Amino acid sequence: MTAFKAILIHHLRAMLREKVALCMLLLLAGLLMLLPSSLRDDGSLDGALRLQTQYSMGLATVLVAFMTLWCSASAISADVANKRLQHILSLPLRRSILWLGRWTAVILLSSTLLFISAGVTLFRIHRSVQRYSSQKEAATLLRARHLLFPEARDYDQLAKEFIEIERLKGSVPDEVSDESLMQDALAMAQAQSTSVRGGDSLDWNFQLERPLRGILHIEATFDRSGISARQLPGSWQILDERGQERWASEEQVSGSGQVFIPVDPIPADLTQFTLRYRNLSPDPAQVLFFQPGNGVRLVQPAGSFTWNLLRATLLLCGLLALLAALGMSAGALFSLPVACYVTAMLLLLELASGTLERAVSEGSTLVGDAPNQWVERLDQLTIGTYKLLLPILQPLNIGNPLAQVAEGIWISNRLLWGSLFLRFTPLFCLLALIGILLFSRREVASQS
Amino acid sequence: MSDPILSTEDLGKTFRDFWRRPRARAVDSLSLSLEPGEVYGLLGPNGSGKSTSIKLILGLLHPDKGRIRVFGKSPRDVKVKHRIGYLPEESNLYPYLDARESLRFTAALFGIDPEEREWRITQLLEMVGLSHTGRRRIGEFSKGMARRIGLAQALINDPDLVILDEPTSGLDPLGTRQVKDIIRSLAERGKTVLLSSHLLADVEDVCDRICILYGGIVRAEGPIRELLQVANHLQLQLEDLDPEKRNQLLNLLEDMLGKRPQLEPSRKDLETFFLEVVAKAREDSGEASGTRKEGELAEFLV
Ligand SMILES: Nc1ncnc2c1ncn2[C@@H]1O[C@H](COP(=O)(O)OP(=O)(O)OP(=O)(O)O)[C@@H](O)[C@H]1O
Ligand SMILES: [Mg+2]
Repeated sequence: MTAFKAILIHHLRAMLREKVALCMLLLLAGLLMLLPSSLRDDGSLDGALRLQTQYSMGLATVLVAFMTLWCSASAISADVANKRLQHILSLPLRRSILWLGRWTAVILLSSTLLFISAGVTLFRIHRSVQRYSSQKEAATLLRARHLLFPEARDYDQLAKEFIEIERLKGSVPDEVSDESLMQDALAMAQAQSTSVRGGDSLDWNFQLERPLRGILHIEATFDRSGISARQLPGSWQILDERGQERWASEEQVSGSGQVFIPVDPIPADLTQFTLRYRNLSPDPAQVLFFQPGNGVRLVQPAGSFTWNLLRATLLLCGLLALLAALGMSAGALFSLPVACYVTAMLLLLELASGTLERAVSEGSTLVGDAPNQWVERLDQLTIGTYKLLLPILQPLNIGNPLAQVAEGIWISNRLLWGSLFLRFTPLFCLLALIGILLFSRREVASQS
Repeated sequence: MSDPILSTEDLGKTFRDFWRRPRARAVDSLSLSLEPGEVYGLLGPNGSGKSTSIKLILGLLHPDKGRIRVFGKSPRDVKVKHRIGYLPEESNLYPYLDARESLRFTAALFGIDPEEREWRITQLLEMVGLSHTGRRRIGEFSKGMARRIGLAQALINDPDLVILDEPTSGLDPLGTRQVKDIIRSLAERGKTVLLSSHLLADVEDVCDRICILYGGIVRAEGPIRELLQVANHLQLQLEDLDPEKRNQLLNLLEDMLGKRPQLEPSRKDLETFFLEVVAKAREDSGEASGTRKEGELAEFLV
């Protein structure tokens, strides 16, 4: 423990005295103070919030990530290059302690800088609140919410049922190929499950981990057919598993856009239930289209904006810890530039993991026929490589937590603790283990 | 005979490139055995494998063949390292630490408790003549000053085996003299010292036994007195002889031997002369900004 403490303090001192931290603090100060002042937001609190969290704090994160990359990659490799490692390793010190001590120092510094950035961001946001908005608007905007989504519909199943029915009716022409029939049926199924005609109703099934409690709103985004200015009457209901009504709204009228309907009193202790919208217009041509994907969701207030930002910061620190582990391991084996490349590759792949996923799922990036077979093969090879990389990157893909915070969506326990303990920790252990094992076997001569 | 402090048997090390092709055979069939209280010198020209042998002994490099035992254990054993003090070939210290912090860091890794640590540091700094450097960073130190810190670091754990790779390189004659004195007094206390050097005078002054390496192979080995004896060659030393007596003596010898012997005035060596000059300069003009007068051997080492 004393050795660990000595290494930790020594390395922190090294980073502080080599002005790494000071330099970063100045850069971050410039970024967090000057950037938002030089950019123009749209004048609303919402806009200011987005600018501060997603852009300023996002850029600060990238800066700190690069510092982490450099510090971790150089933690051991710089000592090799300067022939200092020979002396350190002649002392009674396990190499694993050296690795862990320095990793801890790097991650302490990075996390501190990241939390300072979060603090500055929060400070600026609270100043914006005073400047822009009424207390009421601030109160709603500065709250984060849980979003509860309905179960995804099985469009394939719906499409097959649809085809079956049409076949029985005998309305499927013989010359249509199965493939195009299926495509049409899928489109049909999607349209049907997001639209509701006058006199009809549409259901969404919810399956929750925890029973409903507290305060609840229904948030629905939709559009309507026709350009009539008339509003459509409709009603909302919550039905339990046995189909019994547990809550119903007063008759609502809906135009276009977004509605926010309070569910009060909340039907307590429900985990599995159906949300039903009934279009009360007598005219079947009056159709309401819900936005596909997340047109309907339930919203519960979760916590303050401040807490949510701090949770996102903690999550990002987890990512940095992984990055630092990779940097340390690479730096313990390779020279500083190589270690930096290796670690930077991971950082870039992490940032691009969304794009990679799309490339893999959507196949070839080439449109139409490939110019020649070599290009096609190369393309296949690239996709193959992406496929190999994806399982490694999957655990790192935590979406964009800062964007989530800016939108006021609560960083759920599952995302935060699940990522930290179930995804990052095993990956960290693996990286650390490989790094320490190889480092322990490494000879320490002057050349690297 | 007691168990050797350090022994190597048939040690070999060849440096290889990335493709495992041999690049340099640094050490070949090295067999050493060091007894407690002995000062052992590794001699050899540049690139003869001295530093490589030392790194093998410290477990920093892995041997291709052969066996190393330090205090009867593998050199990679952490417990063994508690009893070793090592001064590397180049004293690359952390430039942003001051002398005290640097020694404190080393002491902390040896697990020396803080009170004892401060006491030892004060004495060691006194000993190497750097107690006045205060908060100056090591990065600002001259080469020899840094070397002295390196030496202090190597002694902070009061080691049983001291391994010094070219301990006098970069040191002024005063420092060199002191290092030699330290080595001798360590040996008198029963500590074992392994040092490498190509400065023959240094080795001659302090070593009990030496081994001369060339191309990684031991070319000569044994107690220094035996190795340096020249057969059939004697030396006569006389003090304060007046010219008349000298002529008489020469005539007598000429009669006896049939040829007149060479006569030369005795010379002090340059080291002694230098030491005298500096000692006088110190008396005349006080202290300078570099190293000051070296102190006594640290008390915990006595
Ligand atoms: N890390 C290394 N990689 C490749 N070759 C090396 C390495 N270290 C030493 N050598 C080679 O091994 C041989 C012995 O080197 P070593 O440093 O042991 O010599 P030395 O006796 O200490 O020389 P000097 O007096 O110059 O310090 C040399 O040929 C050197 O080039
Ligand atoms: Mg050498």
